[in-house]
Amino acid sequence: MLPFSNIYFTFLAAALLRIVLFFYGLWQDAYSPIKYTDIDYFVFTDAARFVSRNLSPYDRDTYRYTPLLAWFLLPATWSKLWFSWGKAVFATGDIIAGWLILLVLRFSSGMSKERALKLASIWLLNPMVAVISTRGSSEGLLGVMVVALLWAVTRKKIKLAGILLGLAVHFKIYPFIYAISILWWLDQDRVGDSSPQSTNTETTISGNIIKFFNPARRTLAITSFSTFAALNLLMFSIYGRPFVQHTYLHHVTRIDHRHNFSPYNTLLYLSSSPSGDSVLRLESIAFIPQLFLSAIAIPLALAKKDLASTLLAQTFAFVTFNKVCTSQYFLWYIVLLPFYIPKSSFVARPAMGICAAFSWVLGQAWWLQQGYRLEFLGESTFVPGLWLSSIFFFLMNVWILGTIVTDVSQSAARNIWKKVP
Amino acid sequence: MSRITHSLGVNPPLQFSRSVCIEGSPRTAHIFYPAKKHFAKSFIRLPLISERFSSSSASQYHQPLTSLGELTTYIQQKICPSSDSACHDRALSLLSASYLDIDYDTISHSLVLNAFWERAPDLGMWDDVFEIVGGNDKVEVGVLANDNPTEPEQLKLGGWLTVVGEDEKPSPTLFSFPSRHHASSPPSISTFSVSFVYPTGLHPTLRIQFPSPSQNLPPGEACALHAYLTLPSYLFADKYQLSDLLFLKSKGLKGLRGLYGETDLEAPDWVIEKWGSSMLVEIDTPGGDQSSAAATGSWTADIPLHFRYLAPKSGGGATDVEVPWPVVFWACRAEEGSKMSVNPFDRVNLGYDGLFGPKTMFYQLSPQPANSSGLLLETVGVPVLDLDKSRTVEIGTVTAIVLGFVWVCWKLWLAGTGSMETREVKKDRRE
Repeated sequence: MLPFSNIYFTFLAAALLRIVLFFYGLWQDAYSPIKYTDIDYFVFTDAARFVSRNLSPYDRDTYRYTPLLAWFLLPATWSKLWFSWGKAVFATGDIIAGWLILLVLRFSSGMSKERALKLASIWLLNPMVAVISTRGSSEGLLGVMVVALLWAVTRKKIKLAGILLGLAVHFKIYPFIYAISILWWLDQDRVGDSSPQSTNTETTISGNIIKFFNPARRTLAITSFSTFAALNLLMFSIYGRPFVQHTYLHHVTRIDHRHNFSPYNTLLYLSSSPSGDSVLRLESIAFIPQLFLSAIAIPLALAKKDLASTLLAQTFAFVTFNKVCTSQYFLWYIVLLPFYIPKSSFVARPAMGICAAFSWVLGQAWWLQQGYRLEFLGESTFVPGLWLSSIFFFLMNVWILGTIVTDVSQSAARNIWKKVP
Repeated sequence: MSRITHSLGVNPPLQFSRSVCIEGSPRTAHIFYPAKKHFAKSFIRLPLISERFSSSSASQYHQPLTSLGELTTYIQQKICPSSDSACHDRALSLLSASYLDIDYDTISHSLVLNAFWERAPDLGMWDDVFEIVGGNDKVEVGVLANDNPTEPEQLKLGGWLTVVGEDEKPSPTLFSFPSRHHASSPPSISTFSVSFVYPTGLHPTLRIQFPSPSQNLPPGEACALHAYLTLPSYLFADKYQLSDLLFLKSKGLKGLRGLYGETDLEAPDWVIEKWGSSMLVEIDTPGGDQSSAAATGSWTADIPLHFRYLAPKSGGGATDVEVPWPVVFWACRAEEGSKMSVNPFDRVNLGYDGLFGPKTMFYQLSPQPANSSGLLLETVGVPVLDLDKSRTVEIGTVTAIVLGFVWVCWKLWLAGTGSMETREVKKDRRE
């Protein structure tokens, strides 16, 4: 019997992994000039320190998050012993996210305990995930929110789902793409509404519209929007314009000229500089393919077939087509991988899976090597090195995305086949 | 005695770095650099701790300057009478000055030029002729040498003074005065040199090297070694990186004592309006740890810096930038701070002097340039995007994005129609 089929063993191992990394981090920070702790964690805790002195967290340069995060990290400012409070919370968040993944797999997808545990281990026992959260990156926190949102939706806890969605969007904007797929998914058949269903196939347009806005959809829209609005109003009333500027507007006005994995990167460096003479002003229309795919096309085409895998496809599309892309963004979709893996043709056809994994790693390695030559050796690897490797990485991700799309639609089709008597 | 990379009024320290540094009102300096766009906007502000010494200037500007030629031409054409060849010559002689301080007094509306030549303009003996041309001019020539002062904060000078055209013969003189600035003694071995750790990449490390700990002894008990850096806009220091004690210690630093001006951690160079930033760091001296000090011949302090992204350009993927050497000095607590305000010879508003309290004395270490030019500048290549290679970037990126977008749309279309087919199959089966 494989060890991770035991629920206690899996969670114990996940906890132990994080505890070991947590203390290793404390040791490295104490004795090495090179820190284990993520730079962002210093940003959060500095911001929390400002809050503890009744100042704005935005007094800390590069703090681009909701003040909630700084409030949440206030205990880290109490004493030296409490400094790592945030890391402990983030790591605990990981475990809770893993637990919720398990619940969704077990009770919404009706999977056996062993299989569900194996899949949840992709998140729980993933060393990359454990390292990121114990280094003090807050991305894992978003993972909990997203999986909790999925759990609430699949368990028909619509109000809770709305609150979680509003909170997640307030936290990091991008989860707004989930709103469309969840709304689309919550149709009459799914919610099991008690209102008399029309047997007439030729309903009027207005009737269809009324039917579309069923109570579940209305509740989700109202709760999520009011949570989002309430949080923003609260933060705006306390911190004013810097809150809006750093949490939201910054993402609109930033130039993203520094090298990152995004295919747009070299072009943005070129066009944002005085020597750039771009005709297209591509950076201002880059959001069109990204949002069309992640917020409209993918939700409408796939959400009703498999909500969890649709969320994965959306996130994958959002990250792949984004104007800026760094490795923390990968965490956004890793948390949703366990829901897709069972129907993935990358698993069904191992050769293809290995090929995809290999290309992904190759794309990363190629880019990182070029990045190293630029940052530390001072070689101008912008073109062709960094540019070509980011284009390769992009095309490879597009291929994976296309496969995910096909897998999700076909698995739904297969399910229908199975259900047919 | 005082060293700078920049200073008061309009102050081009020619010998130390080929750059101009201006402290004071942007309007005063404007006549010398009228071509500069947004000139007034590019000044940075420095705090003043000892206001007595840096009375008026909390604004600072710095710019690399290849020669004082423009200024001497300006003086020759606008200030010197056209017939006065002596005035023309004197203006021209500024080209070889070690430093030139220009001070404009707003109360008396007078412009004061202070030039200093470290050695004779021509090789060999110092041979100069002074004559009075105008009726109201007064020229005083003094030949003075350093004498042993009776108090540590004093400078004592002895020699002869002559007022040209009035005195028949030079009159002997001996006077002393307290001074904020001193040369670290003995000057011949109280030295440092500066280089970059190669490869520099986008995160260059500026290394200050000292010959040996036994030679660089602090001049007093309450002294701390400091480096004052002038960082043009393409360079910046990260104050958050410089806050961890273990990290600082590994670099041979005690701490960041001040960082002023343009400190944005993310902006590229082309959006920066100000000229750059000034930085004061305290250097860790190996004095406390005798065993390790004795083991190594020389010791270093490493200052971690970062380059901003520079604009892409054609013809090679690197842009050479010049980085001025820092000023390195011991800052010591003086016994009698109040006395020092009376010294008329002290240069003030040097950038760092205002950052220390009034009871501070500065003992300067002398820079030892490795290159023959004697310029205290390091030239570093910053990697940039090569425009010659990037012609295909736009079309290539657009093609890739469109291809990727169309491919995913196609897959989604297939998914949509495919499910319709299955629905139909389902219907068929039911029928």
